[in-house]
Amino acid sequence: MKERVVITGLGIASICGFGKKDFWNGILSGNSNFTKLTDSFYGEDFSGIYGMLDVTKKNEWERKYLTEEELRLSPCCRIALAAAKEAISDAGLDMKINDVPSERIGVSVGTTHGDLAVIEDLIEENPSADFSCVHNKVNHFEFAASIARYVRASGDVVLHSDACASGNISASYAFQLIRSGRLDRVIVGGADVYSRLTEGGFSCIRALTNDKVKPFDRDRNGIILSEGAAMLVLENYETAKKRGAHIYCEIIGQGQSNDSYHMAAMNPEGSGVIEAMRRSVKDAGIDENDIDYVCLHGTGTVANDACEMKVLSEFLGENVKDLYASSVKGCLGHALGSAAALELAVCSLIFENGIIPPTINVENIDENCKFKLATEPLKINPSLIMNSAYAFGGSNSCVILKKEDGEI
Amino acid sequence: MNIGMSKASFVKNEEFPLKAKTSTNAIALTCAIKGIIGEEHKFDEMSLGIVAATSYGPLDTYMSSTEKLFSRGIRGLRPQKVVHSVLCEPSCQVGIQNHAKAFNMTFSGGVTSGFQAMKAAALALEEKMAENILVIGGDDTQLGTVSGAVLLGEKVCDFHLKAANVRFAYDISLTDCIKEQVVKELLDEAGLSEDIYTLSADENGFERSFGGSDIFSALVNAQKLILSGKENIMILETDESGVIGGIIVGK
Repeated sequence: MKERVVITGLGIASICGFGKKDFWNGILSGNSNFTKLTDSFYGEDFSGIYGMLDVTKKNEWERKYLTEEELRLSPCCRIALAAAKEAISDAGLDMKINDVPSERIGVSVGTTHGDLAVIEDLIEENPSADFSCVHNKVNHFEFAASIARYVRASGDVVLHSDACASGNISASYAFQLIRSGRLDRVIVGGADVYSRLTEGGFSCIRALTNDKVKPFDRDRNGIILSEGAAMLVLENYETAKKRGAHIYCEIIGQGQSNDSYHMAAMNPEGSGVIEAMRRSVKDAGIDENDIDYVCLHGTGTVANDACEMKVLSEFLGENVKDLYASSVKGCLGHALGSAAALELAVCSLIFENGIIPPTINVENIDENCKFKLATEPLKINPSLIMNSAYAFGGSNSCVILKKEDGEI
Repeated sequence: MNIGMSKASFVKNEEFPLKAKTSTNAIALTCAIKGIIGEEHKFDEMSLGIVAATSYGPLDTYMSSTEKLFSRGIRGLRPQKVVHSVLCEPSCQVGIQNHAKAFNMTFSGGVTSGFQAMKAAALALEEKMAENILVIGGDDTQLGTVSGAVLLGEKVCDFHLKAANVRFAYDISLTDCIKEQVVKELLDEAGLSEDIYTLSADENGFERSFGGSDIFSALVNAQKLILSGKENIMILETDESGVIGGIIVGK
C-alpha cells in the first residue's frame, strides 16, 4: 500500500521576506530586494543586479533560530538550517518529543552550488589555492548534516545538486521515500547564496537582464539571480494526523526527465519537459486537464519561456486556455537551488489562501502564451497544482500537489 | 532486491587535455563509462537514467574560472568553459554523451555519496523511473581525477545488487550502533545470514578512494572476489560527516 505524503511546515528566507507571512505578502505585492552590484573585479562595463537577502533582517532571523556554534557555519548552511528550524517550528514539532523513531526521519535537501562562495573566498585570499586546500576547508554536505543533527535523523540524509531543479528533486525523492513506507518524516528544500562566479558566469553567457525580470512578456530579456532558502516538512499523512498537525497540502505525484541536449540551453522542442509533465500526472493518477494551476519555471529568458509556452500548449491541447499559471521569478529572482523549493512553499500557501500569485512586471503578454497568465493575485481556490522546474544541464522535474481533503 | 549489475570500472590518475571544454571530472567519468558500456548495450533513450555521486563536482573548472574572474573580470571567462562549473555538470555531460533521457540526479557528499547514489538508483528502478541506470561517481584530487561507473538494470546480469542502504549517525557516539543497524537491514533485504564476506576500507578491505569514486574502488574488488568464488560480498563505508552506507553484491 502506498502511503500518503503531506506538507506540514514551511521555513523561508527570500528577497520578498523571511517567514511565511512576510514571504506571502511580498509575493502578492511584488515587494523584493534587488541590488546593483558594484564589485570592481567584474569589469568596468558590468551592470549586474542581484537579489540579496536583506542583511539586517537575515542576521536577526539567523540569531532567532541558530546557536552561537551554528552561527559559525558557512552562509549557505546557516540559512538552510535556520529555514529548517523555522519549518519544524511551523509544523508544531518539538525535537524533544520522539513521536517518530530517528530511523524513520530523513533529510533530503538541494543546492546548485553549495559552499561555492567559501571556495571563492579561499581563491580570493590565495589565488594559488589547490584542491587539497578546498577539501580541507569546504564540505558541501554539512548543509544536510547540520539539519539532520538538529532533527536527530538517522534515516536517509542526502544533499541533491541538480541546479535549478534541486528543490523539486529533493522533495520528489523524499516523497518517494515516504510513499514507499521507508520513512515517516523528511525535511526537504533548497538553499543558495550569492556567488560571484555564478553571477559572472550567467553574465558571460548573456542570460542576465539589467532591467526587470519579465516572465512571458513579449520583451522579456533575461533573469536576475537571487539568494534564498525554503525548507518544508514532509510527513506521512497518518503520522501528521495522529499528532494533529496542520496540513498545507498533499504531494500526490512527481515526474522527471533529462533533456540530454546542452549544458546551458533547453531543448527548444521541449520534449524533455513534456515528458516530465506526463510522468508526473501519470504518477499522480490524474488527468492533465484536472490541473487548475501551474507554478511555472518562468525564468524570464526568451528561450525558457518560449519552451514552456510551447510545451503547455502541447500538453493540454485546446484546454490550455482554461489553465491558470504564473511565475514568481519576477519577484523572487532566480534563486537557483532554492527556486523550486520556494515555489513549493508558494504552492502550499496558495492552497492555504485560495489565491494564486501574480507574474509581475508584465506589460505585453507574449502572443504565444495561450494559458491564463495571472498578472494580479487571483482567488481561484485551486485543487490541483503542478510545480515545475527545469534545470541548467537538462534535469526536468514536475511535482503534483493536491488540496488536502482528508479522504483516503 | 535483485538488480542486474554490470562489471564496475574504477579509473584514477588519468591525464587530460588542458584545453578540454568540459571538466576533468566529466572526462574521467566518460573514461570510466567506456569500460562498462559496449556495443551490445543499445538503450531506449527514455529508459536510461543517471545517478551521480561527487563531493565537489567539477572542482577544476570552478577554481580556474574563479581565479580568472578575480584576475581578469568577466572578460576573462570563456562562455564555453564557465557553463561547466555547475556542481552537477559531470552527470549532465554524461547524460548528453549517452543520450540518457529518463532522469538525471546528483548526490553531493563524502565517501558514502556513491552508496547514496546506489540506493537512489535502486529506488528509481523500483519506482519505474527508468529501466537501466548508470551509477557514476568522481572527483578531482591532488593526485589526479578519480572516477567510477556501473550500470544497473535489465540490460545487464554480470552481477547482482542485492541490497543497498544508507543511514546517518546524528550523534557520533551512535556510529557503531547505526552501523549494526545498517548491516542487519542489508542482510534482511538480501535474505542472507550474518557470515557474509565483508569489505570495509577501515579494515583494509579495499583502498579508500575520494568522494564519489570510493564505492567503485570497493566494487571492483568485490566483483573480483565474486569471480574467484565468493557468493556474496557486503561493502561497508563510513563518512566523517556521519553517513554510513552499505551494499551487498552477489553473482
